[in-house]
Amino acid sequence: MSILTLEAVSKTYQQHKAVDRVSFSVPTAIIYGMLGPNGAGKTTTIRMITGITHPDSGNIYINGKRVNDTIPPQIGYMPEERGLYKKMTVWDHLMYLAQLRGLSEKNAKIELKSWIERLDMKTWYTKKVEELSKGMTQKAQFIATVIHKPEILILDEPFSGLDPISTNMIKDEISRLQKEGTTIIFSTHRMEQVEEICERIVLINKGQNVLEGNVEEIRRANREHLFELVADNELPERFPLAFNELQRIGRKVKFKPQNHVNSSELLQHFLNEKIDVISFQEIFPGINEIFIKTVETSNQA
Amino acid sequence: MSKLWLIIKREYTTRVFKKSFILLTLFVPLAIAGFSVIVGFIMSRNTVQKINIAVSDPMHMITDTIRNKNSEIQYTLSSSSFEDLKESMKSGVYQAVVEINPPSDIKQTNFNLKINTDERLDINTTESIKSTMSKIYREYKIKKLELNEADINNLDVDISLDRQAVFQQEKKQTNSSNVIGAILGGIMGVLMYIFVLVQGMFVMRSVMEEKMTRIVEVILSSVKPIQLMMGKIIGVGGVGLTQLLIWIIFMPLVGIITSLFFGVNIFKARMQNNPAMDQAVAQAGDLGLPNLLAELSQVNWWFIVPMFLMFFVFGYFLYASLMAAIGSAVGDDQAEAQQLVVPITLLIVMGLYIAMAAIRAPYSKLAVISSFIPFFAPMVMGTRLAFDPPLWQTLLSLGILALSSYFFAFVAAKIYRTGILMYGKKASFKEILKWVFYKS
Repeated sequence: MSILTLEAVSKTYQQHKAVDRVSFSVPTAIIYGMLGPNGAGKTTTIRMITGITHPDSGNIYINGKRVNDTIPPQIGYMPEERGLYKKMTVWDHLMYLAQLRGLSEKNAKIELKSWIERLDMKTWYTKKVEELSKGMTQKAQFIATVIHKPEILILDEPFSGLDPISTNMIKDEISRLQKEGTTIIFSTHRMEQVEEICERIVLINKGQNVLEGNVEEIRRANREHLFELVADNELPERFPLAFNELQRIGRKVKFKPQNHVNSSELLQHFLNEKIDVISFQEIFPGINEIFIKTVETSNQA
Repeated sequence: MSKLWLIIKREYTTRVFKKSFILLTLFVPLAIAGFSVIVGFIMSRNTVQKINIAVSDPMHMITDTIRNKNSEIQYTLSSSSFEDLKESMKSGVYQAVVEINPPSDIKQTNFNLKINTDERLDINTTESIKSTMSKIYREYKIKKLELNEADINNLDVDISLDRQAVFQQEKKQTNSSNVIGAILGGIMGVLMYIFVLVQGMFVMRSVMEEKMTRIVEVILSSVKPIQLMMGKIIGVGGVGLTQLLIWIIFMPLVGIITSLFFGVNIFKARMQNNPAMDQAVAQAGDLGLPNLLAELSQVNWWFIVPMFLMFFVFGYFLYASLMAAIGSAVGDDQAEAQQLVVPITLLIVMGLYIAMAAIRAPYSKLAVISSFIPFFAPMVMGTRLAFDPPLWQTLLSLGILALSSYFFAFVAAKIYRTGILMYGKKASFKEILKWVFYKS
């Protein structure tokens, strides 16, 4: 069951097609990555999902309901360009944003108190925003995004400019929220984070989606039959089997077979050669490589 | 609680409960009072030089004493010639000697007198001496022509006109009701001007700040841009109204206190840069307090006050929307914002000048036509309201203003919606106009 579906969504600014027929669907309660180089149209896509701008054509559905021209209340959004009113206290500010999100004053108070407790903000929630450290500001911004318990949490470059402690705090909160059933969409151009936390991804380049699917499946589909072997004894000078050795460091070797052989056959071969195998695996390409390769091919096309 | 209301509440409370607002609100009336006291003190100083003047009258033109109302200048009549008086000048008894001679021709009206002195005479002193001398010549002529002083004074008459409507049923309009109109109209025009300009600027700066601190995208994922813009305009307007109300209550108090303690009339001091108002205020002074109060009670407050408030509100909306649009388009570039604000400020200032002209001629073509131009209507019609203008003009002016303010709020909202999310690149005026036609 997908909670969010985009159907050939497009948006044009003057002559510039910012988003061009982007389609994808996000299953409920997973962490979904939206990748793309800078200026690919990620932020515009997100702005259309959150209702800040509206698509010129195409449809956006949340829980099967068309939401093109509304501001869907089920969404919590932390923009990349995020700020707070400097002169307000943290408490006033979060109360204000919570109520704008549709919480009653009473509920906003209850929620806010529990967040202050959980994120250890007791000593500074009465301070003005301008007096806060960067880490404190980021905590406050995160609470502002999730205080109304959104079904879909959209984070645009959530870790940009974050210190390691805040990064971990947000990561922990993201996985906690996911376990509680929140769907998390997170947009970034930092690939290592995607592999670490995302289950599915969509890759957007020049306003179009060029790749979509499960992270493991994408990696499997893009594999180049690269293997790595680590042995306990000395490796022979040359392997009799026909394959290109790409790299050898001591007792570790990376190689690519010339003929199509599967890993079991290779392993059988090594055992026959009396090699004490410590580890042997096929290397799947990283999302980063796939990303760069896909973007380059789509730019040439 | 609706989202619009939440925004208004935030805009209002964060401003009104700020220390700087409270200080400014209390400080301005006190500063004006203090300033008036100082200005009044300076103005009330006698600026005429202290000087002893001998009037050399060898031909005995003067038979009476010299009447002089300025005590700083002392005149001494002498039948000696200037040459004889030189000695006394040297010893310092006189600083100047004026020579007078009876005119040979009684019809002569221009006289060139010689004042012998080494003192440098300032304008006030010169004027005072001239006026004393001209009185001497006048009295001489009256005597020679064997006229009666009292008869001459009776030649001057004062006329006042009481307009009486013939066919139309309307309240009696007297000279003094025009005076009231001038004062009331002037106050309303100036209030409108200050309010629109100052609060409009606040709206613009606040929009710029929102864009700069990047809070806007967070807010816009909860509310529509038009709600945010309108909430801001209403909230800031409310702050301005609050301040205005405090001043309206506070100012007369301060005025009364200063005039009691320092004998300075701050209302008179304030109006000195506007001749039309000045004249009106002076006339009001002549009317006397009981008359003034009677006239004030004659004013149709039940019509003027609500009408004025409506012009106030629509005028503010018109200009504040434009300012908000500018703020959203420029972002953090103060210099660019200033450039774009200039044409709007010019419109407001022009409106004020036309309004001031309308005090003198509230039924003139200029005043009537300007009332139907939405950019001037708030100031001009706001002023004219006090002069009992034809009802159709008031309503037409208000209608045009209301429709235009709706139209400009609509246009501004379109610009705002696009501009507020544009970071980095500068938008040209042409581009900004294009935003108006964007689909959201």
